[in-house]
Amino acid sequence: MKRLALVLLMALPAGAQEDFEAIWKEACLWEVGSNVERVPAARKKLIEAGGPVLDFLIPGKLDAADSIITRSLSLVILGIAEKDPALRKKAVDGLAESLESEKPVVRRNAADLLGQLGASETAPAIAKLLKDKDSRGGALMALGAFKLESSVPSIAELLDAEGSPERLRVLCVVTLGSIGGPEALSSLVAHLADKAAAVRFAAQYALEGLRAVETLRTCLSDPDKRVRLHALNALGRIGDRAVRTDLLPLAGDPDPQVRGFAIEALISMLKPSDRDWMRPALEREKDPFVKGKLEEALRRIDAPARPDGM
Amino acid sequence: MKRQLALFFAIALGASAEEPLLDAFTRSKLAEALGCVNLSVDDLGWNKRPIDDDFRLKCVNDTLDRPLELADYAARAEREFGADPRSAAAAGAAWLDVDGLGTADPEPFELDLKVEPESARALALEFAGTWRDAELYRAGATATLTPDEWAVVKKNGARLYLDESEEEWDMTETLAAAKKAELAGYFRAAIVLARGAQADRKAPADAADWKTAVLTVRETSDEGLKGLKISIGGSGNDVHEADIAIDVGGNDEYRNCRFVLDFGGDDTYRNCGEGNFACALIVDLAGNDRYLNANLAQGGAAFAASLLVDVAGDDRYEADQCSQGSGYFGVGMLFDLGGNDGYRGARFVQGFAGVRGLGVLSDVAGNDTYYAGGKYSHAPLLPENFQSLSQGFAFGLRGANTSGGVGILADHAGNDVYSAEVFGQGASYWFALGVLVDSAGHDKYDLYQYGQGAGIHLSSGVLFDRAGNDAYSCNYGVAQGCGHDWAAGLLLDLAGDDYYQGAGMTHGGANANGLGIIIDRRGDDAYSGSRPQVQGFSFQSRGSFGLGVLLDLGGKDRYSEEGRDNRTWTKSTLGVGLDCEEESR
Repeated sequence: MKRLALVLLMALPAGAQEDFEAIWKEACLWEVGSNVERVPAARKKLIEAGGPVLDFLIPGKLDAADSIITRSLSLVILGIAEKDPALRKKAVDGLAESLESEKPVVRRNAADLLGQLGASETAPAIAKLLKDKDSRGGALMALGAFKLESSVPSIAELLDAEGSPERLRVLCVVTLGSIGGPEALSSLVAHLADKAAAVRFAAQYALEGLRAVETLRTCLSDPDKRVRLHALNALGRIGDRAVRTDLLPLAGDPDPQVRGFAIEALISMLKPSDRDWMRPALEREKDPFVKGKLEEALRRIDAPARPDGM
Repeated sequence: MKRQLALFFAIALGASAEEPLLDAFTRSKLAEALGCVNLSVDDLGWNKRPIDDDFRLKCVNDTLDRPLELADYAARAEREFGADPRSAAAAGAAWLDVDGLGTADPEPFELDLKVEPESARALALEFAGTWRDAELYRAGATATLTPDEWAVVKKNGARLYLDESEEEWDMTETLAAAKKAELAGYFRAAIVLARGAQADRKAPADAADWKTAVLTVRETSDEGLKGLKISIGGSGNDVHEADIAIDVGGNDEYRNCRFVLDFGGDDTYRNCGEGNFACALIVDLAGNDRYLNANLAQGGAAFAASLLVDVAGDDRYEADQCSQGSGYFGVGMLFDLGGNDGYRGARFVQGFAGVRGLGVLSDVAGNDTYYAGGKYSHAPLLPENFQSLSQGFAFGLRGANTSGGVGILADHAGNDVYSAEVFGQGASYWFALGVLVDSAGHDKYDLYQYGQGAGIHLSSGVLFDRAGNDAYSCNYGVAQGCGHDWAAGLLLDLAGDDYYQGAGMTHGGANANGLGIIIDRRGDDAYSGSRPQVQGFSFQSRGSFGLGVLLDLGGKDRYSEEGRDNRTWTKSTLGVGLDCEEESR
């Protein structure tokens, strides 16, 4: 593999290697403040140079953990691939070969980039990386991008495996949310009760992203209060008015947390007639959280939403 | 008077240790607020440290895993870094996971000094002994390094934080070698220095007999002391330029001295007490003094221990970088026990720590002014603003994936003004811990961005103000109880009518899976945000959540956003505010 990289580098014209190095350095700067114009200009130059830049970047520059560099890799490689199907193939071939690199970061970035390129033909090779603890993050990103439901069981297995770190489990949940389908939904619902809050919320956000209204509706009667609250929160954020009738009774729930979450969810689907029950409810209400939500809802009925969306 | 003062603080701080800063009422209200966003207190321990490295400190992991412990660490900082440098040096070791300091002193040595009167000779011998013992411990800290490793550390060690070229350089080799430095040696050296400081010293009875003289050590059994230059000063206005200077009075000027003991007068210190691969000690017992340095001074240390104790007077401290209680691979401490003092520096000052460092500034009394900034641009992000990275700030080396240390600024009394630009005031960056504690007085905190109880990028910070009507201002946000990117930040103000002004991610704000909490326990307060992303705010990131929490547990308060007295509100993806009165329990 190292030999291959060397051959590829040697294939570049002598001056080009140095030129690309300098431009690449600029392309990998932080795109803020005084760099705001400089960085995109450097990336544009690299994209315009096309094929030789692919030889320069793959695999030579894939060994990068810094997100500023990986973002630059993504923008430049995708930019080149978009120009011409032959260049896309060249990028995919190089990255597919890099999946077998001895360097874990190279494998991870190669998988991630193949996902971004939509190279689903490489999915079997990428799926093998799920067992590779150093590069499975990139594999998950790619499988999420491919949206292959066939990969759901192995991702769900990784999610539930004993000893899987929390961050990896969140990434599994995010990937399931990207893929969707019945099996993914089932796994996501189960993790609304996960012991790790980060996983629970990731599952909620994934279900929101899938607009899984019917699935979430069934969770409103879950025995675990945390699951009910996640479902209420998600349904409110989705804002599908079809669930109003499910939410309204919960606005009178004996548990103030459930009442508050239900009213908050209803805020995204209010009707002027809600004033009629909300005003008396506000007078009766003792809980400061629920009172605040009722006041917020009544304000929203009486006035348009703030332009900043807050 | 000084003893009474020290006793007062010992009692006051001891009493405060009895009650946790987050009392039962605060904890119950926090639990109630968290319930409104479907979380519990235990949930605050979501994983904020997905990577590890060899330099990580327990207190950093503790505060990322259990962020409420930031309050406990603030209480410890207030208690342990008061008026006593010796106990502070011993306590400081635990912050850096150093135990087993031991008590054995180095072997005695023989030294013959021909100086009169006897009190001058005794003090010169004592300070030479302090020098020798501290240096032995310092050298011992790196004794296990090979000659090649030592050469790399000696060449690049200070450069870890002092390189102004802005050019990236590969720190790997330097850090790999420096990792072998045993911090216990630096703490032993710090204890030796603190023992030598003795803030309650009295001027010798025969001070009138002291004559100005300079002597060079020749007859000694310790090779390390040979050639040491010792300057003795009488009651007049003297100029000293020596390794060690001891002066009983007058308005003196010290130049390039490493160890100084001055009994009185308005003195000027130029380039003295520099702790760059060398131990340093300055003890000034009275007078309005000026300290002027560039780097690694005024209790600033790299691969060393450095201590400055100024007992009384209105003093002015000016330095560039890594000074005024600053340490990396070492211990740097500055104690000012009285007077209205002014601290001015550019960057990495006023309770700053880098990798494997403890930096402490403890100011025990007086109305003090702290300024850090004005020199090093924060380009490219904010090219028109300057970096501060100061005032209870700690800084790991992100590019080298190397955790930072612990930076503490503890001001125990007076109406104080803290001013910094980018990064400062109870904050840290990259697996480090920054603590700013102010125990009393009506204080002003001014910052441009990133700080005032903030963790920035997988890091922790706390600002704790015990009392007084305080004003907190931050132009550009990420402040006042903020966690930015898998980080934890806490601003805790226990009493007084306070005013909080900020921009985005402020007053309990978080982004990129961070946690930011602001707790104001009592008083009539006002919260003003120039942007709506304040007062309990965070957003979804990396597929999961961050959390912003605002708790105001007493008084009549005003909020620029949706907060109101006796209300609980939620906003953004996951933000919560709770306002209540304790009597309403």
